[in-house]
Amino acid sequence: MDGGTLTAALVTLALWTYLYKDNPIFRLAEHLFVAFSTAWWVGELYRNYVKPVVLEDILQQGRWGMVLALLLGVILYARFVPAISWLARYPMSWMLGYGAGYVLAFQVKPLVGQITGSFLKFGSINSVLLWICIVSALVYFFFTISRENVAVSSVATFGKWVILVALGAAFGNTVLFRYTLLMGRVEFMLRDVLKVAQ
Amino acid sequence: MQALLKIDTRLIYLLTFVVVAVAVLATLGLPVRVTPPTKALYDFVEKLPAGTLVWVGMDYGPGSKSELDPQVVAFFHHVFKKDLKVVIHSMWTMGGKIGQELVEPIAAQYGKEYGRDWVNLGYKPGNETNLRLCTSSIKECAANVDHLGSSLDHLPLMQQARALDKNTFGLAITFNTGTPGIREYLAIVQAEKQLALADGTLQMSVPEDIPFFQSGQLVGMFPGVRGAAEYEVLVGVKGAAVKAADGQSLAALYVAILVILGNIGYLTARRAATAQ
Repeated sequence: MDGGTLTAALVTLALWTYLYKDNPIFRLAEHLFVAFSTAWWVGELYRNYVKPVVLEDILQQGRWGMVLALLLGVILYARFVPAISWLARYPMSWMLGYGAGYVLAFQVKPLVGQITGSFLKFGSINSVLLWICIVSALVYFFFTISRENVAVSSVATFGKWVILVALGAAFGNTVLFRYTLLMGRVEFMLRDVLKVAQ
Repeated sequence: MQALLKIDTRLIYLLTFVVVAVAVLATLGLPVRVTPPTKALYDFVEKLPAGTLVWVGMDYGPGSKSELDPQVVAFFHHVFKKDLKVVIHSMWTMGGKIGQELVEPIAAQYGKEYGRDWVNLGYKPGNETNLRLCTSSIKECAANVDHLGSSLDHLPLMQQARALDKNTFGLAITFNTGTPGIREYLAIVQAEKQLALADGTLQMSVPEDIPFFQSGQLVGMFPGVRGAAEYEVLVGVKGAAVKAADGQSLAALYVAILVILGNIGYLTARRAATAQ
């Protein structure tokens, strides 16, 4: 067994000890994970952003216009200095403005497909059911009409059940996903470490 | 019956391990029924002419390998069987490496040559900004280098793969696990560029993503590891997914039994409390 497999096996076992109860071995594995992932990200950010932009684009190729973006990035850290913390609002407002503009410009289009996809089509029973469920769920969130009206109240109650069924399906899928993750680890332990499975 | 509410959780964990271990050790071969999203994707790929370019987004990290790796493997068996050409791209740091490790052995199995039949651009920073750049120039969004650092000018396939658009590619698929992922592809690749898009997603994301298939925005999808198992059945390849699907089926049965037992315990306790 190579060193990497042995380390992965030991860390996996260390994490599983938490299922019995919280203990120092679990804590060690947890802290190791945080430390390694932080180190990984520092390396990745340097390799993918700092090196190509600062060292190559600005210093080697002389693309000095990028200094402005770099400056905006550095100013973000001004919030840690109380006297000049207000400066950080400028890059932050730039980012928020860009983000809001981007979402409005590009993220709305896929929603249009969702809306047209939910139009009532009488061709199939599924389509009619889907339409009824969508309208009912929307009525549940419609608070400007009084719920004393029996018709509105009934549709809203049905809508609530539609939402609960959808949440149940989402939760069930999440549980199954967690089992698949566990299966990946168990397979690793039985196949690669203990070599009892194919 | 009220004892059902006091089962030691450690016993539940132990039984969970046993259930999953049984699925790993034994070949159960439970029946796999092919669902419409998987069949639609298979049929779409089946109709692509040989030599068509397919864009594959490897947009996940090691945490999702157990669900998405089997999907990638099943898909690449089909793609290489059909003699399609592939360009791999990743918006996730580990995606390029995972793609290389998965695709290399499959490509070798089908005698596919790197650079001519498939190229791995690897991880490209910038999220959707980078993806958007790919729609105008792949060379630019990839900084003219592939996953291994080789110049794209030396890879014959990249003379053909100039931009991520419907004139160049026949299909784009993203194996994804969050952000950036399918939402970015839907906005940029499908809605803007009108390129046929497919989705390989986690079981837990299926309820969120399946409306995009139902509305026709996706040509098909892998609904979790079960989708990978279905694809393996369609392609006729025995891989890890069918076994994982067996594990999921056993786990679902186990959880259902626990839920029933818990409810019996709860109702019994409530009845006893009411009687008092």
